[in-house]
Amino acid sequence: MSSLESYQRELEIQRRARRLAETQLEDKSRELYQKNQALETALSQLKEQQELLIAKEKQASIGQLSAGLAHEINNPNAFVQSNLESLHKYVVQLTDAIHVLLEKMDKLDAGSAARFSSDFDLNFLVQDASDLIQESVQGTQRIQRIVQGLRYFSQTDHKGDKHFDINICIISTIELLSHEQETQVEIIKQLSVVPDCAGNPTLMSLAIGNILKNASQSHPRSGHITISSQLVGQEIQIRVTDDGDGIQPQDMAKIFEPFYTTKQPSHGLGLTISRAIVRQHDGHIDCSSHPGEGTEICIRLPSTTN
Amino acid sequence: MKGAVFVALQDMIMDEFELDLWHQIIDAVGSDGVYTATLNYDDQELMAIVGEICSRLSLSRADALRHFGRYLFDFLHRGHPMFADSKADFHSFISSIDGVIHLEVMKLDDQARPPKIEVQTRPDGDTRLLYSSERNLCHLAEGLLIGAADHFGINIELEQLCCRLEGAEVCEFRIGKA
Repeated sequence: MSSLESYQRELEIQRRARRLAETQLEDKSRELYQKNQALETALSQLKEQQELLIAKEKQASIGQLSAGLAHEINNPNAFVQSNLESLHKYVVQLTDAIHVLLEKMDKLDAGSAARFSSDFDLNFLVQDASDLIQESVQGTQRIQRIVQGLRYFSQTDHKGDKHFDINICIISTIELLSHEQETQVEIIKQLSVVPDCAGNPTLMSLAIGNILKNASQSHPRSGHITISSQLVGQEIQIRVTDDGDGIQPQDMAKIFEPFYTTKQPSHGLGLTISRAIVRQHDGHIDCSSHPGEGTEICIRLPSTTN
Repeated sequence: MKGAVFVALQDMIMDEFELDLWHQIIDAVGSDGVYTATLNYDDQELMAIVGEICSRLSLSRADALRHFGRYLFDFLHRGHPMFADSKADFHSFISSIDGVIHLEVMKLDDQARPPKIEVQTRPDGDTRLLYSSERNLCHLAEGLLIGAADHFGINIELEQLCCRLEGAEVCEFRIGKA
């Protein structure tokens, strides 16, 4: 074989070797890409799990604190409430006694009752004492509601495993709320047929109710709230959308935090309780909002078809 | 066997003889001669090529492998200089073969079957290298050791104390300074 033929043959061999190397490089690059994708997915799942763990740990800590606080506050609040009720009865009785005394004073010395009443400002004292007691009773009732709210954080494993129709839960919640609504907000239902959820319908009703109350508070006077349900993949999605004030970007991170509120007289536990309940049901809750346009809260729950 | 070894063998024949000889060898063993360094090829194909080289150049298998081993060290060092360059001397280098170089080989190809190399320092100062591989290429290992010694600028005395080809469990080399 001549030298030229030998080199031509070698050139062909090297070309084939290069093609083989290129094919291998492509295969390896593809493999690397797929492994990278798998790693990114795993990392994202790990982050999600980590966030969930942190959230659960946080919730457990809040639960422990809440249980202690609820107990410590509930007891003195109960006797303050009881005392205020007795005090109210006493004030009524004292007011009656004063009137009897004043009548008797007038019989003995005409005009003395008016002078006595004026000197001691009795009318004001009687009226103000009654008002003060009334306000104090309202205050203790508010404390009682907050303590009731705190109880949901201390009960992390009470979701139950009852199968229930989330649409029935939504409808009964709206029915209950219709008696409490102070604003003229129209609730529009867009409910699809969805599989059952597993858990506690009463708690879920509370979670949805809190979200609906929150949405109605975002409207100064009137507006619309849309609540929808639908099956997306293996999840049931419940979306509550309002066309209210929306949430400012700087407030978005705080809306699920305990005691955070921009609307008085709200105690700032509604959405926190909703999130705790949704998490107890192995679900997720997210919020998106555009200031001036409205807010959407989305609950994602696993369906029983899983 | 890694394609890199076949490529090195071809380079050696082309450097030291002629391209035509290489073509005659691959024709004789029925190979197309297309070798890519990162792919794996049949061990028997390498043995057939080495056998053909021995027959054409009137060399023993041991001499041919030893000679090739010395060439192979330089070939591998050109491609991966960090392994020898990161070591201060010959002894540290051969001690790192199993734990560093073969580990890197396995990272790139989990199907690779590198030999097991164990370096022992005896109380009398002698160095012993134990080689164990199902391929029984102890003469190639010997050539690689000579190539490494050349690289570190030292002369060594190599004595093979026992060989797997003769029924021993491992091939054992005594490495002394010349």
